[in-house]
Amino acid sequence: MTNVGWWCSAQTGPWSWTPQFYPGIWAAMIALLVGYVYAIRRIGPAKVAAGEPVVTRSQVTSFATGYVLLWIATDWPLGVLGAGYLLTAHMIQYILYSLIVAPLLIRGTPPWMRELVWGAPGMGWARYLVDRPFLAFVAFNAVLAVTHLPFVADTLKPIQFGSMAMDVLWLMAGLIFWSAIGAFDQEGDMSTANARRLVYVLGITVLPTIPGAFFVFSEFPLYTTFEFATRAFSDLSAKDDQVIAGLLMWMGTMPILMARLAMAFFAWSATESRRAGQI
Amino acid sequence: MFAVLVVGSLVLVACGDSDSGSTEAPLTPQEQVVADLGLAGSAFPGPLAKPDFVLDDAATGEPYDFVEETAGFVTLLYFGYTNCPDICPVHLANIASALDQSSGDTRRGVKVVFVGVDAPRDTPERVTEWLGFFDTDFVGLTGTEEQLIAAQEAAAVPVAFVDSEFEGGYTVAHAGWIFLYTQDDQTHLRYPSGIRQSAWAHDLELLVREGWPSS
Repeated sequence: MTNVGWWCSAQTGPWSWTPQFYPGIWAAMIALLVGYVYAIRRIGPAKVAAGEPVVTRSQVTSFATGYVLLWIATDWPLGVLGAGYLLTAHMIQYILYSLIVAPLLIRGTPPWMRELVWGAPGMGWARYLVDRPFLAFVAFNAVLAVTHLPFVADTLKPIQFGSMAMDVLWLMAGLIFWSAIGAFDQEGDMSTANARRLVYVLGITVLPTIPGAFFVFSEFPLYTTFEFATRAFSDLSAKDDQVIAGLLMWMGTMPILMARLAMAFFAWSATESRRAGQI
Repeated sequence: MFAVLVVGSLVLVACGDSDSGSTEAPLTPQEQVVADLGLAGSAFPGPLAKPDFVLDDAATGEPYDFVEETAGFVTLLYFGYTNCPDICPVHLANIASALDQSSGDTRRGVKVVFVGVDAPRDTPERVTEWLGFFDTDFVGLTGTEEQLIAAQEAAAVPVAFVDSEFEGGYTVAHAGWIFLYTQDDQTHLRYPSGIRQSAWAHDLELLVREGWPSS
C-alpha cells in the first residue's frame, strides 16, 4: 500500500493496482460514522418522545449501505480511476453519489437528525434549498452541468482540494435534492404533492441526457484529464471510454430514476384512490 | 551535428522568449505558416531534411530505409520505448485515435514510425505487439545500440539513456516530441507531448491535403 496524497486526484503516472491510502478520505469517513453514532447515542434520546425509537433498524441499514457505497465511490480504486484515468469510473462515481448514496443516507437519517444537520450553524443556505424543491432541483442540475464542463473538470481534478470539492459538491447536491422531496409533504393536498413529486423526479431524468449525448457523439475526447491519462485498460481508448460513460449517463441512471419515479407514481395513485373512495 | 546545434539553439531561444516577455520577436516564415494554418506543432526556424538511417522493420525483420520508405508521405517519427509508462503510450494512442477519426485519404497519406530506443527490451516481437495495441499500421523499428544512436543523431534528437533504475527495471530518458515530415521530405514541425487528438486530426488532415506551403 502506497501513500500518494490525502484525497484522490488525477495523477500523471501510469495506473497501478497497488492499493493507495488516502488519509483525508479515511478521516472524513470515520468522522461521518462517529458523528452518526454519537448523534444516535447522545443527542437522539432527548429529541424523541418517550417510547419512540431514536432510530429504526431500517434507517440504520439504509445509512450503513449508503455509507459503504460512499466509501467505495470516494476511495481507491474507484476514486483514483474516476479522478484521472477513466471517465466511465467518474460517471459511476457521479451516479453513486447523486442517485444512490444521497437518498440512502437521507433515508437512513431520522427526521430529528435531519433537522439537526440542516439547522446547524452555517447550513442556512442548504436549509433554504431543502425547503424549496424548485431551487433544490435547479441547484442539483446546476452542479451536474457545471462540474461536467471540460474546463471546470480538467482544472479541479488534478488538484486534491479541487477533486475533493467535486466529490463534496456532488454529495451535497444529492443530499439537498433528495431531502427537498420531503418538502412536498408539507403541502395540504397530498394528491397535488405527489403529482409534483412525480414531476420533480421526472425532471432529473432529462438533463443527464445532454452531457450524455455530448459524450457519445463527440468526435474526440472532451476532457484532457482522461485524454492524456495512461490507459488503465489497454483495449479501452479515451474515446471508447467516453462513449461508455455517455451511455452510462443515459442508461445507467434510468433504472434508478425509474424506480424512484415508480415509488412517486404509486404514492400519488394511492392518494388519488383514497380520495376517490372518500367521495 | 549541425542539426543538433539547431535544435539545441531552438530550445535556448524558447527559454529566452519566456523570460523576456516585453518584446515580441517577428515570426519566422515557418512560424508564420504555423500561425496562418492554425497548426498545433511548433515550428523550426528552418526546415531539416529527413534523417538518413536504416533500421530493422520489427514486423518483417527486413531493413527499413527511412528516407526511401516514407518518401512522399506525411511522416511522424517518434523515438520512444515500449516500457515507457506515460508519454509514449499516450502520444501513440492519441495519434491512433486521431487517424481513426480522419478520412481515408488522410490515413493513407500518413506513416507513423516508432523507433524503440531501448535495445535490450525493445525486441522486434515486443515492438510489434506493443504497437498493435494502438494501430497495426504503425511501423516499428529496432536496431543495435550503435544503430539507434546513429538514427537519433541523424534525426537531431538527444540520444536516449537509462535514466533511473529500480528493482526489476529501469526508465529511459528520451526525446518526448514527435517530428512531422511533410511530403517535401523535410521537417518543419515538431509536436511535444500534450497535443490533443482533435489537433492531430486537424493538422494531419490539412497537411496531407495541402502539403507544406512552398515559399
